[in-house]
Amino acid sequence: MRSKLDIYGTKLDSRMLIGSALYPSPKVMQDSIVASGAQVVTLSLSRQNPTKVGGQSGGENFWEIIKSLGLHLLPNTAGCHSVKEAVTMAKMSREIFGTDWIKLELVGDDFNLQPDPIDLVKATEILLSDGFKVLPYCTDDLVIARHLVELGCKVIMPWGSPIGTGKGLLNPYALRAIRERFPEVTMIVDSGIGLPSHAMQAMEMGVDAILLNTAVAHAQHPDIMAQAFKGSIEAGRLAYEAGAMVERESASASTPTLDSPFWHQA
Amino acid sequence: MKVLVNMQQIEVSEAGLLTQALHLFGATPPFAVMVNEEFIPKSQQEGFVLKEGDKVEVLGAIQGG
Repeated sequence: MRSKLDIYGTKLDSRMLIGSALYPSPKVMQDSIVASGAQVVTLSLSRQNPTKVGGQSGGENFWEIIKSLGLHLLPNTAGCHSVKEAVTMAKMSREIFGTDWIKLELVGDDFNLQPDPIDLVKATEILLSDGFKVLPYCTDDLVIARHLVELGCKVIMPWGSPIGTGKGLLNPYALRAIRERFPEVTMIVDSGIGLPSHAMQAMEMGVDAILLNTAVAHAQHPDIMAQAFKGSIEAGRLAYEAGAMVERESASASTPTLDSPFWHQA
Repeated sequence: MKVLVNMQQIEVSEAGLLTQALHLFGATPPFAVMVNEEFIPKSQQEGFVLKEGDKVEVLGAIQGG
């Protein structure tokens, strides 16, 4: 039986988490999320505008569409720059969406939206003690990951590269180190994924899942790209579970040479 | 009495009830509320009294990555 993705005890078949932002239209968003096979969708909070359709911040009945998909909701604390902001936003998200899951984002610098590692750890401690199931968006720093795990995080989400860049895995060595150092933690690479090959590369090294948004939403055909990612993530996981061959420095013939027509014993 | 709701000026009665401000603004469920950057859980909104110039934020679901 295929192994399942474990998020704080919730077992999922899909190892792709998908964002709901940046799509050209609500219909494209809906079609892409469905095509991805993802069972978790991220969303956020913003000021309401009663003049918009449905009155909701997302407009055009965004909330109605998300509800209709019946997926696990993963609210984020995007745009928060302080512990207080992130904790407040998490509490509001829990009240609105009825989930203890929170993708904890705490911006350290607006240039590359890198998480503030120190405040991230502080906010994680506060939220875990308040019963939240924290999925912290962090850099690929092994020591920060260790602090998050020691606080009690069952999931960590290191970046592949800065949000929206599509640069893929900038530091595979660091990600591999986190994977090997914390084999029991659910590791989800979040942000910077641009191509299905990036996602597959992460999955092949044993990463448990991929969270992405821009790579699908900004594709020329988002629903088709969502399918591509679905396939690559599944393939990468299968390859990991299959146990890949060991890389060699020298050639080793795959066709037996003994008694081949022009073979001569030395 | 004037308060700000999502940066819009709203005139509420002297009783200054938060629930009145939310109704006048047109808050649409589901939403969460902050007053002066403090989260006011739903359980505390009934009977919550605003002061002149208070800043109320009404937040709802939006797309996110």
